[in-house]
Amino acid sequence: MQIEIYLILAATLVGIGIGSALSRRNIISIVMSITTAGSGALLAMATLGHDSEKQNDGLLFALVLGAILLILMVLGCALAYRRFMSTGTTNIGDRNELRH
Amino acid sequence: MTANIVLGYFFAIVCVISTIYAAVSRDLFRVTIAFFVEITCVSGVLLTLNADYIALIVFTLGLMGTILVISFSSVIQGSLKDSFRAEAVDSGSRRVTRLFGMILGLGLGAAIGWAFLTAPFLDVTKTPVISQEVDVVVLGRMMLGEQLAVFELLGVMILVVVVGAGLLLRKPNNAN
Repeated sequence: MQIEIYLILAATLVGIGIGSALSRRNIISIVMSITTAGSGALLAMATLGHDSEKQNDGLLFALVLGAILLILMVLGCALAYRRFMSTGTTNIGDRNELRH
Repeated sequence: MTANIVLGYFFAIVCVISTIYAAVSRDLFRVTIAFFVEITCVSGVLLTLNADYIALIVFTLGLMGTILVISFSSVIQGSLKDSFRAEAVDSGSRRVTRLFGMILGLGLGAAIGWAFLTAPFLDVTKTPVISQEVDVVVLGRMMLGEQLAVFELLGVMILVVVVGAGLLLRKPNNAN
């Protein structure tokens, strides 16, 4: 497989992930969408890092990004639980407290 | 080598299909399963790059994320099938807003793809270099060598997040 296949797949994941995150209202699905976009970025980093024969910094960035995505999912679920306990819903479309 | 290429294309196609399904589905349970399939396919694509350790980490991320989401959403929302009911009864203006968000995201993805394919410093037509070393060797040498600060900061960040998640999950004082 050529590098462009990996990069097109990464860009597709990032695009669909960001679009889904912008169009969803449920906190949990937003977190999953952001993780999808992050996995696309991780794939691009691993591809570009693996392409280089001497510099393998991309692999390190991909490793750190994987840990950050796992942290994001844990914090997102905790925030969803907290919001559900305080308001009874996990939809952020109903959140008007920050508008004023 | 041919099997590797075929598997790579298979994982890429299944990954795109499951991502699209997760983006448009109205059932949180199916969205979660599609998310797991998608992350698994990403790790499969990484395996074709010979990035075994990163692929294992991504698969673990998908597995733990799926278990986490299913358990949390089961606890706080009861039926996973009813979780998107509020989105299904959206008004016309909100649907337009959501459609605009999806178009914006897809446009951003297309721009990123165009930037990748036209980057002057990148020859996208060649196949990725398969390193002779296993990537865990490279990563271990980097993280315990010149990039030690990254390793330490990652540990501190995970510790802070665990403490923060514990505080978030604590029952509020004014709750009955």
